[in-house]
Amino acid sequence: MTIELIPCLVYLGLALLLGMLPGRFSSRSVAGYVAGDRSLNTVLLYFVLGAAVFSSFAFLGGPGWAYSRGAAAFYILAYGAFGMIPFYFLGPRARRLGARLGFFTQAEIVGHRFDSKPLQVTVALFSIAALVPYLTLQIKGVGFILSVASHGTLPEWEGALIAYGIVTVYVLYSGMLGVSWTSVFMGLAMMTIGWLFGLYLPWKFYGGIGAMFHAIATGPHAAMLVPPGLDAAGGSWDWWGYSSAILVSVLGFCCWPHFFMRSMAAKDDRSIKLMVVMYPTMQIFMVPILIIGFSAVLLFPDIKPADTVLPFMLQHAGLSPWLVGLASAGTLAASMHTGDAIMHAAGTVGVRDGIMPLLRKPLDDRRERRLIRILIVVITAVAFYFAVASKLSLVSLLLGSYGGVAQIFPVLIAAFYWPRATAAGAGAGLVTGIAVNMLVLLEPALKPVPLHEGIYGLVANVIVLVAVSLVTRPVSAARLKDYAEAGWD
Amino acid sequence: MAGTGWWRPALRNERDTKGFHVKTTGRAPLRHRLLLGVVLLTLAATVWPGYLLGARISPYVLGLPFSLLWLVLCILVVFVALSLTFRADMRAGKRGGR
Repeated sequence: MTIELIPCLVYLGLALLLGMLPGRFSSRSVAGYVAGDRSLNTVLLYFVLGAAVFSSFAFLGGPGWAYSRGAAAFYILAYGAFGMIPFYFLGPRARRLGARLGFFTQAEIVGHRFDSKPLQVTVALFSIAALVPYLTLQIKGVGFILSVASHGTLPEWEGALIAYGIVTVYVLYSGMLGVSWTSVFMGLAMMTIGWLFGLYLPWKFYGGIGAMFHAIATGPHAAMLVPPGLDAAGGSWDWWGYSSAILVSVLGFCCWPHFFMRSMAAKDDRSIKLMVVMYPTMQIFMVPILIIGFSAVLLFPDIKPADTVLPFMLQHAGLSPWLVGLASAGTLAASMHTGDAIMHAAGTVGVRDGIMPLLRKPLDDRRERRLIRILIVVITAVAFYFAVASKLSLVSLLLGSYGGVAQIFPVLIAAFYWPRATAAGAGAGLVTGIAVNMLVLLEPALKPVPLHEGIYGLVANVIVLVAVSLVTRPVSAARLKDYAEAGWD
Repeated sequence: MAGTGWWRPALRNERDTKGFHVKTTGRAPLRHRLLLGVVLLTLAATVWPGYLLGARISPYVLGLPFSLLWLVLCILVVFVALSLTFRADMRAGKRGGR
């Protein structure tokens, strides 16, 4: 038992308590388990949606980017500012449809709008394929940070098992309300600790943020501060790659299945819109996170891999063990409150969109809940296996998933705003987009210009979606009636 | 369009049963078009070539390089634009219109 572990254990205990409590308040129904009885207000949405975006990527990947690629990391700030905005319009529309027709997931809306179960199942399969590597990354981050906090006495798999054991318990018991209550606590913990360290580290080692940036700009690493920063190999990045990475991330942002389906948990349209309005206040939190990475540039020039810059500093910068423990707890918070949302969403999507459309008879409410809980455990176990046991690299799958998820954007826009779009068009567009995205990702030599692979996918996606829709039979007017609303929101 | 609003979908041109003329969107109100305009302009200021205006290290403001401060300002612009749109939306909602 080390001093560093104490804040972590206190944090884990509080997370378990806050996760279990709300289970007593939600109804014993699918609506209660999956969508918190459609009761989430602005504050809960702000933390569930806003903070779900900040995963262990924020605490580990964000400083890693700033440390190794400099100004390139600014792209995270840029896309976060805009990514939430489509949700101002799509969110309320999805919420009203969900409340009227009893939907809980993104794929249910797509399947209903295009009158196509195969399309619904396809979207569900892509969703789970994108979510599992994401969850794996969260589990890995937790195991790593607890192992550092225990000075290596706690092996990574044990730390991951303890933390995700707790998450599994409260997600199974409390469902959506458990996810949302814990995310308020974890979001506050993460933001407080992020700001604390973002301000403290430059002050301790350089005497201030300005002094730190000035030291970098006049030192041997000056090139990294010149936008658009450095590429992965350390050469200077090109504007093509930087700009297109922002665009793809903006479009993919609200298409993540665990993100979009929360519109169905919202109380009313107003709370969704107000959450989008308030979201930039959370986005500012990326600034201290990036500063943490910059503060290591001159102190420890050779940290590899770059993602470990925060744990490395915690070990080697001579900080008080209490501070190290606090930073570790912040990282746990960031990882777990994305992890629980993904587990809950993947289980729901898997059952409602992957299994139920294939059944002849509809499931009753109790069986459906049980099936969702079973699937959550299965998916978490698979992700856990990939995280601790498998040597299979998920990096390319994860990289591919960012460009892949963005391919859902044209389908969503067509579903809500283009009545002529058909199932064949949307399905062909989606599959083509994802195929092109993966192909270009694996064979970068195919790119005529170094744009993000997601852009090539999106162009192919939109062309195929429009062309195939125009030559296939339109969806019946009776079905489109539910999607016929004036205006955008 | 009497009797329709955000809670009750308005259906336009329903006469064609084949669905060719079912419109899911009417004209969006001016405030939403303005929001889209501001957002696209701000987005253009964060990618090439718009970002070239802000993409330099000095002057430092609040200790941040100008390139980073530029993005913080962009976030602020988006925040203000969204706030104003939200206020207008809520007022329109109270009057029972869009």
